[in-house]
This record gives sequence, C-alpha cells and structure tokens, in this order.
Amino acid sequence: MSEIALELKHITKSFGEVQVLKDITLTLKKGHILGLVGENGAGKSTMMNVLGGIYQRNGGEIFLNGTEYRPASPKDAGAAGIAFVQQELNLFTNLSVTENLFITDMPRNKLGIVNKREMRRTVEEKLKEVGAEEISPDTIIASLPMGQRQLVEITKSIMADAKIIIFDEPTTSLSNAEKEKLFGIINKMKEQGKSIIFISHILEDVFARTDEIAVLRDGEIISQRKTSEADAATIIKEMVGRELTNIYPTCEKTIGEVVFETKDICQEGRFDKVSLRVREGEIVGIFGLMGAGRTEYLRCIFGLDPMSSGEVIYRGKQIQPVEPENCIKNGMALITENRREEGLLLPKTLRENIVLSSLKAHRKGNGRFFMNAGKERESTAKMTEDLRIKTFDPNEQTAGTLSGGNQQKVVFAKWVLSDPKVFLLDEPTKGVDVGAKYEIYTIIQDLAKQNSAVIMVSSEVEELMGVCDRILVMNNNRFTGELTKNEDYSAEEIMKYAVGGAM
Amino acid sequence: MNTLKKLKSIDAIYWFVAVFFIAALVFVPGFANLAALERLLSQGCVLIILACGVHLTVLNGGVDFTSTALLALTTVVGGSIMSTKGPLGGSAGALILGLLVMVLLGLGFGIINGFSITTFKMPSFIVTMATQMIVNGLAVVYTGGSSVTGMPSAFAKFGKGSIFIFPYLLIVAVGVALVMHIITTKTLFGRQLYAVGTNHKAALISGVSPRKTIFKAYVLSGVCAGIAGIVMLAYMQSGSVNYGATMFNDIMGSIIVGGTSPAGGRGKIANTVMGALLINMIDSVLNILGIPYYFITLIKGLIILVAASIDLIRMDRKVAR
Repeated sequence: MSEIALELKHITKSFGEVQVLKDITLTLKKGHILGLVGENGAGKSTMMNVLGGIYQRNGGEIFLNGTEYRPASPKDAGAAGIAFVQQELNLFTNLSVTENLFITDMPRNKLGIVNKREMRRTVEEKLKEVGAEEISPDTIIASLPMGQRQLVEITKSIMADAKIIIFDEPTTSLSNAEKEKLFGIINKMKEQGKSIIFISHILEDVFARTDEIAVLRDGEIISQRKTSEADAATIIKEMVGRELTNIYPTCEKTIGEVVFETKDICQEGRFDKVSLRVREGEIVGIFGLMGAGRTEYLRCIFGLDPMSSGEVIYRGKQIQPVEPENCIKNGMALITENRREEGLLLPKTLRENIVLSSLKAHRKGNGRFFMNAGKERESTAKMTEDLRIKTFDPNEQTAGTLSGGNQQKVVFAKWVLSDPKVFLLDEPTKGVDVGAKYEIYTIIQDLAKQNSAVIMVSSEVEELMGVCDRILVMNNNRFTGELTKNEDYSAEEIMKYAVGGAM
Repeated sequence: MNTLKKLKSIDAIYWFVAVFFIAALVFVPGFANLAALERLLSQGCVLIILACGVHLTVLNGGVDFTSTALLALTTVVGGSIMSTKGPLGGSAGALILGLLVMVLLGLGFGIINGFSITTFKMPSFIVTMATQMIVNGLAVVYTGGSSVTGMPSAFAKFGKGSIFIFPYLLIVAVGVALVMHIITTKTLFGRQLYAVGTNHKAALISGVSPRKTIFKAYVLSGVCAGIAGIVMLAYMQSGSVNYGATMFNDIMGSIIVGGTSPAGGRGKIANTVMGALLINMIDSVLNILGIPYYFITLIKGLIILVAASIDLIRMDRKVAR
C-alpha cells in the first residue's frame, strides 16, 4: 500500500446560493497518476481552484502528506508543492522562455540587477529534465508552436520543485507526437515520485495513462477506482448519469442542390485556388492535422482574414465584398474555435450574447432605433430552453460564469436565433464534455434538417465520421481527399490523406 | 434583508454624491442657499454635456481629447457670428446661424475623429490629441487670442433665465443626458456600442460593425461638444479660447468616478452625470471655503482616486461572487 500524498474529505463550496461542490472525497497516492473525468460544469475547475488557493472552501478537510492544508492564496499552494498546468496557457507571449519561467522570482544581485546567466543555466537544466532541451531559453514564446509552449508551461510547474502536479486538459491543442512526448514527461515525473492529477475529456488517454480514475458529476465524486478495474461504458455512464446509447444522433433529412460555393480562393502565401461546394442540408466535414489550413480557410471565406482572389457564392449570388458584416447579411455564420476570445461577450449576460447577431430583428415595431426588450427576453427564453442551456437566469447570469459546454451552446444559440443558411463551424465541440457534445451534434443535425449548409472543421476523425455527410481532408493548405458517408469512411483512409497521401 | 440587498446594489457614486451633499449642507455655511445651488447646477451643465459625449467614446474603449478644445472653438466662432458687434449685428438670424454653426463644428470634427480612427485604425488617443491641438490652434488663429463679447439680448436671457429654480441651461444639460441615457440603454446603437467595447472581435464576428459603431460614438461626442459650447457661451456671455483648458481632468474624473471602465464595455450615463455633479460640488464647496485653486485640484485628485478605488473594490467583489 503506497503512501497517500493528498486527501480531500467532503469538500463543499458555494457561490451565493449555487452549491458547486457538494461532496468531494478523493485520495491521491504518492507516485500515482489519478485521472479525473467529468462533464463540463461538474465542478472540476472549482475543485482545482480550491486546491490552488484561489477559492476558499466552505467545508471539509484537505490533508497534504497527512497534515491539514488550507491555502489562502496561489502562493501558499505553490509553497506547499502543488503545481498546476492549465488548459489555457498562462505564458507571456512577448517574453522569452527564461523570463517566463522566472517571472515570479528572478534571482538578483545586491544591486537588484537580474542575474541572467544563472537564470539561463537553471532553465537549461529544467528544460532538459522535461526532455525539451531543443527549446532555447532565449526564444520568445510567441515564436514557439503550441506543443512546445505546453512544455514550457510544464517546465514552469517543476521550477518550484512541486510534489503534486495537476494537469488540466493538457492535450487539447497538441499534435499526436507532442501528446506522446507529454505523456513521456508525465511518466518520468511519476517515476521521480511525484503525484499527478490528470484531468481530461479524452477517455482513451485517461484509460491508457492513469493508475486510477475518479468521476466527478454535479459537484460530487461519484467513484474512484483502479484504472485496471474500470471500463469505458461504466465511466461514461457515471459521468453523464444516464446511458448513452448513441454517441452520434441520427436524423432524417434530405440533401438538395449545391447552395454554397467557394471558388478558387487564393490567399497570399497560403491558399492557391482552393474550392469547395456544399449542398442544401448537407454537413461537410473538413479534417486536417494542426496547421493544415482548416481554420484559416474558414476565416478567409468569412472575410476575417484577407482573400487575394476568389469568389464566395450563395445560391448563385456572389457575396461581395467578403467581409464579416456582409457575409452575415448574406446568411453566413461562423463559430470560431476560441469562444472566449471571439465568440462571447464574457462579462455580459446570456441575453445580450444570444441576441447579439440578430439585434436588428429585435427592434421595436418597424422602427430603426429602439430595442424591444420584451422580444429579446422572449427569444432568449426560447433559445435557452431549446438548446438546454443551464442557467439560473439568462437575463442576469453572465456568459463568463458558465461552463465550457454551456458557453458553446450560447454561441450556437446566438446563431440559431439569427437563422443563417450557411454555417461554418470551427471545432464546435472543443473543450466540451460528452453529454454536451451529443447536444451540440443534435443542434448541428437540426440546422441541416432545416436546410442549412454546414461546414464543420474538427480534429476528431470519429466526430466527423459520425456527424458529416461528406468529409474533405486538408493537407498543406489544399484539399487532398474526399470521402462520402457510408461508402468509404475509414479513419485510416482519412489519416492517409491528412498526412499528404495522394488524391 | 431584501432592502439591504437593494441598498447594496446601488452604485457607489450615488453614495458619494449623497454623503458629500449632506455633509456640505451641514458643515459648509453658504452652501445651503438656493442661489448657491442654482449656481452649482448651472456650472455643472457644461461638464455634464461634455462628459456624456466623451462617455460614449470611453464605452468603446477609446477616449476623446478633442471635446474641450471644441468647446472653446465653438464659443468663439458661434459668439462672433451672433455678436452685436459682428457683421450680422446680432439679429435673430445671426443667433440661429451661430447656434447651427456651433453644432455643425462639433459634428464636423466628430466626423474627422471617427473617420481617422476607424479608417486608418489609429489609436483614439493619438487622433483626438492631434485634433485637439488643431482645434485649439484654429480657435487662436480665428480670434487672435482675444475673447468674443456682445451677445444678443435674447441669448443673454437664455443664459440667465430659469423656470422656478431650474435654469434653462440645466434643462438643456438634463435633456442631453436623457437622450444619451436612452441612446445607450434602449437603442440598437447603444447595444452595439457595449458589444464592441466589451469584445471587438466577437462583435465583428457576430455582424456588429465596430467601424460604424466607433465612428458614430465620435460623431455624437463632437455634437455634444458643440452643444456644450452653446451652454458655455450662454452662461459666460462671451467666447474664449481658454474655455475648457483645464476641464479634461474633470471630464475623465466624472466618467471614472461614475464607475465606467476605461477598457470599455461597462458604464452608465446616469453615473457619469452623478460623477459630474460630485466634481462640481467639490469645486464649489472648496470655493466657498476659500481654499486656493492649487489645493482644490489636489483635493479633487485625491477624492477621484479614493472614489474610483472603492468602486473597483466593489466591482471585484461582485465578480468574485
């Protein structure tokens, strides 16, 4: 029986009248990797924030190596040897690797001048420790790819010699090779006797890499068991609290004529005559590995990034100029992959977010100027109900306080309300849990059923195969393959095109 | 319990104004008479109108330095047109033309600001600072530095007259504030303004044009400066290039004390009006007490600092909850 590194007993936490954590009881053994899974909004972030000293718990006890632990600030948590590797990287992109790693406490001489040489030496050592010696300590973060930034973030966590390291969705923006490397590092940490909590939505990873799995649902730990004794069906059932028979919803719909077309799209230094056609009611998936140009393509045809030449055509009519406002006027909608930065007004209420792209339709009578608050409330109520957005009051609650899945639903609600006919979706289920994913797939299917044309970019092959009628594969800024549903869907085939196989 | 909650949810600025007002009534002899109050309200009018205009540009994360210079320019140009010493001899036509030109001047420079900021993507800070200098220069060139006098009697009546204790000028200021309040809270443009100020990118992707929205904010701010010029001219009965020279701090003070976020997206017109009243009360109380000018600015600065930090602390608590 190995020693216990961290023990949480009946932790509770409320915000106002909302109890977010009801009963968190969890043990982390020394030198173990504990996988923590749960739907978005289950309380994972709150639990981590309690551990990290950002929030104060209302009740319960935490023991760290057998002694009571009550952090009053993130600094306390750091001093106690608990480190966090966040989902959203907390690096200063304008500073160098070294500066980032020493940002809280730079070694200084008597005059208060920073000792660069010493910093550099330590950083080199630490980078080597996580197997990232190819990163130069002087590199500016902005010039590093996502995977390497993640490594820097991890290095940051071991700077203070942490005993317990908590990884919060560390793999969302990593390529497969980078992911392998990350798991290598995690294992190495484990061998050094460090204890790890690994939070992830990707069950496959959790099963392959952890010693134990704990399931969190609605602020309660439902189960904690050895990974070897767990099976996926049980875990998923515990996560959502209900049985998921179908991962992907099916629906009856008819696919019509080609309604949306992008013709010979060119962008300086990226796209050279890249075309695409989508039929009415059709869901077209675009798959590609990181950097294949998928996101850039969507942004280009929506007018967010410049287009040097090419045509965007809806129902035979060319959309001109290709600018967001005009694209939207012509029935297009774009849901970007980063909802917090580009999708939502975080400090504003759900209502303000939901009516944002159909403000003009919510004006009073036939007037030009005045808003109709009653109509806004009506639409908001309908959308929160239709899309099952969890909120105590959409007129009061701000978007920033929602969980990831619910935030994404708000972004969808905004567009469903304004009723566009061409949907461009970029990673619509990124950072969203299983239950909410199913609901988002249903929303997408409904859009197609109502004769919208949908283009959906995703990094998950399975998701595309489950939802799309046709999949286009992108590699190096051009389409290298096309597969039609039921006939030739195969993950291997898609991957072959994605890595540059012949058309 | 419920009333307590309601009291707690009242924005800090109302407490500051109430506390300061009551303290002044009790402790400052000479503050509690109608003439003083009337004077206080009249003096506050120009600040209220200017602050309301600049408020719109702060809401979208910018700032408008031009407004104080526009105040001066409009008083000298408008004043010279309607002056009895002018070529039109102070006729009724001259009066109307003068008023019109003042508003149009504000509108014109608002358009120049809005156009430069949105078309060339220049920071509002730089653009409006430059136009402020240009407008100031124009005013000096136009007058040669001397002030403009000889306002027609009808205009003098407008400046001094009142209904009960409500001066005409105050009615204009309240009217402007009311219109701005309605624009920000009830109209399509208002919603677009908050959206753009909160998240420029999200607004753009949602079909709200940041370009058009920002442009309109600067145009409205310019128009407000023109109207403020009219009120200033009516109150002082003379136009001068020196008007507004030290007023910018008061404008930003009103807006910030009112709890408007300089980063954009958050703030209420009503609170900015309260902020302007607070700053004016501070001014007049310190004046009545005979405190020298340099002390007044020092004390005002301290009060703004304290009020703004109290507001921010309250805001943080709200967010944390």
